[in-house]
Amino acid sequence: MLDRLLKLVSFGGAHSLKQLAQQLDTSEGLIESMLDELVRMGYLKSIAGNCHAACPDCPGANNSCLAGAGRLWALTDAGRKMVGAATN
Amino acid sequence: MSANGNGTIRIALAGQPNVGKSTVFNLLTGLSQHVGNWPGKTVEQKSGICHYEDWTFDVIDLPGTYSLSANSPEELIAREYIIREKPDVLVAILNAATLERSLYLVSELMPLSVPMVIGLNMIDVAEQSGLQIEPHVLEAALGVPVVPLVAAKGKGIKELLSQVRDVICNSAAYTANAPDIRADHKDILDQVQILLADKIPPEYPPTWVALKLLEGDQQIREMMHPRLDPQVWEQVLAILKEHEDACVAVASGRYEWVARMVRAAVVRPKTGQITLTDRLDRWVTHSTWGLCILGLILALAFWLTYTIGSPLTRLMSDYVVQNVAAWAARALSAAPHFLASLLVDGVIGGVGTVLTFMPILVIFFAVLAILEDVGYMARGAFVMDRFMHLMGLHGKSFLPLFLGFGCNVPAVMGSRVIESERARLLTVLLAPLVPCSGRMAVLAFLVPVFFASPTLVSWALLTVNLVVLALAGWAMNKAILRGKPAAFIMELPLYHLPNWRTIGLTVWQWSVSFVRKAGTVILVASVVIWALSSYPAGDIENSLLGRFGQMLEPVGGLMGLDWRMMLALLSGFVAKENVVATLGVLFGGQVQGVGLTTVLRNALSPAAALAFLVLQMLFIPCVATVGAIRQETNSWRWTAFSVLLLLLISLAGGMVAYNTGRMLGW
Repeated sequence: MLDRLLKLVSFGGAHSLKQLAQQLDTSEGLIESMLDELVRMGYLKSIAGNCHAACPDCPGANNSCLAGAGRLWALTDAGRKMVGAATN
Repeated sequence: MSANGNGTIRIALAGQPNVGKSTVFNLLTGLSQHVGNWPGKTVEQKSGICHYEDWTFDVIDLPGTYSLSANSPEELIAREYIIREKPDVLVAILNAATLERSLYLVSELMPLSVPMVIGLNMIDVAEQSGLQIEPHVLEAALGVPVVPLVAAKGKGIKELLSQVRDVICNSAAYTANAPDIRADHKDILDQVQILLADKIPPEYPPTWVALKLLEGDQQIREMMHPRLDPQVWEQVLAILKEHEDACVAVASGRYEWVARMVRAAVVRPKTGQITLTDRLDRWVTHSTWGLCILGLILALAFWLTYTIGSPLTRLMSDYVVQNVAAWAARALSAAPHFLASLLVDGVIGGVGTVLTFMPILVIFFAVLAILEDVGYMARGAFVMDRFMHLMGLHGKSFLPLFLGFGCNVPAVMGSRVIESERARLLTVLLAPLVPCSGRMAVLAFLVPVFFASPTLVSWALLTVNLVVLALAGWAMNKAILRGKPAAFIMELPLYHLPNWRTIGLTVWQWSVSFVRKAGTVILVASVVIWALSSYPAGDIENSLLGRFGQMLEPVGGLMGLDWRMMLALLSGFVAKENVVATLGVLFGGQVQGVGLTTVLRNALSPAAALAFLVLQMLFIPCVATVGAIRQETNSWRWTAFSVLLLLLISLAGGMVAYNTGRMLGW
């Protein structure tokens, strides 16, 4: 199931938790649980929702720089390699 | 009756943090608790005695852990206790409201082959969030007793103890339905187990040891290595090396098991689960309709901006700035000419002009702030990404697209979150093509001057900008990145009513930072531009700036732009808003009481204005962004490439816009 999740994500682009839950016929809670597992394994990276504090003039300094999204995860190179290895 | 001959039954309490395990422990043991440390460890150990009817239970509270890996002392303590001490019954406490997470620990506990009872706690919380769990169905699926609890209210504890007693007396009646490794790795598990054969210490379940080895468990590796003959150990290592993805197969097997249990026992009534968010998202995140909705919302944003903002800007210009300029001219009529000129043409002409379109900017940003607060922006980003995907970008421009709308600097710096070096480089190179607030300011100012439908033209310009972004990204992807897709997963927040306080604060902070910028960077730049355009000759055409500007006229001429427009464009290198300030200084007019708007309308054809707008939207970014590019790429070569690329794209865009405008008779 983890491998199927990684494979879906590896097709590229942005995916929502809801989409992934529908595609894997399971709940968003389980998807989130699996995403955390994949982060622990190093195949995904959890991206914090807060801006870097480095821009004092940033007009959006107190907003989430990431357009008000909740949690955000990105596929790592290790994750991409894992999908590649699994399909070979 | 007892299990171990001396009249007490040993219960081990297991569970993840925050499932109410401590509450259950306290209810069971009351005041007869003993708190110490696990032998040789700094982790707290709690144990106690519980009496129920004529039975006595020795209760030990295992450390709360999410799983049973070898990564933390708590996990090692928990699993070692279960394996070595072999409690009579393992009571696993689950949080019914987060069943998926709680069941993962159960998937790790079951292969340890200790009789188990599940305490399904927080049933009331689960019900409140619309989840209906059927304990008897879960019991049938798991193969072990499931007892609903509301530990916070003391409910279910007697039933739990009764069930523990039943398991002791009728152990044969229960067969735990433990998870398997993912099917395609079953034979590898068997192979490893055969190799380990009779070398596994007797207290350890053989299948569990084999699974842990495949998972890469360091403690089990260290345990088995000295027990096996070197050739056998080499064979085990060879299998592990060949199947490096086995850890994923082991975890996958557990998650598939959890999914099956949840599907069986959790009822999510359709009407309860389909919320307003779900209903809206069906349209808003749709690949086609979502894009249309995004387009409409952007058009609405512009429409509101111009409808409310333009009259206010006109008021500011006609009644405030012009009057202040006229007053200043009168007040300084006795002063030296250069001082009057500095203040009126330089400061008021420059900074004053920029400040007149604050109403437009404030309204535009308020609209964006509202969209973000209600939760739409995340969907917009999501839909834009799908659009990018269609252009072959596969989500590479996702982050800069939305970071860059405020300012390109965080868009460039935001590339740090991208792991792949090449994807990061592409993000940095694309970021300046995102229209930042400074460029939008120039757009907001100039579009109503020349075009009767400012909403339509602004919207069209923004769309063109984003299409250019997509095309540039696609081309760079082909040339530089050669198709390695970046991928993101987003949690889309629930929609909710706007929080006016948050929005007000955001708009206020933005306005303050804008005014501060006007009062510093733009003020200095305006004075410098004024100085260079007034000396040595006093008239603009023969000034230092004028002579430099005339060198640019051949290029400007291709787009119907005179040297003053070209200089204004270049002055945007300091800060994009400066373009307007420079126009204000160079086109003058305040002293005569004629607004800048009228002067510009007479000086430029609509086709040339369109060319200028496209040119400035796609032009080289401000010095802060170029600096950020240099910092992030750590390469002058790539920074120079970025500058050159944008110069070429913007000039090409400007010429296409001018010629298109001419063809339309503008």
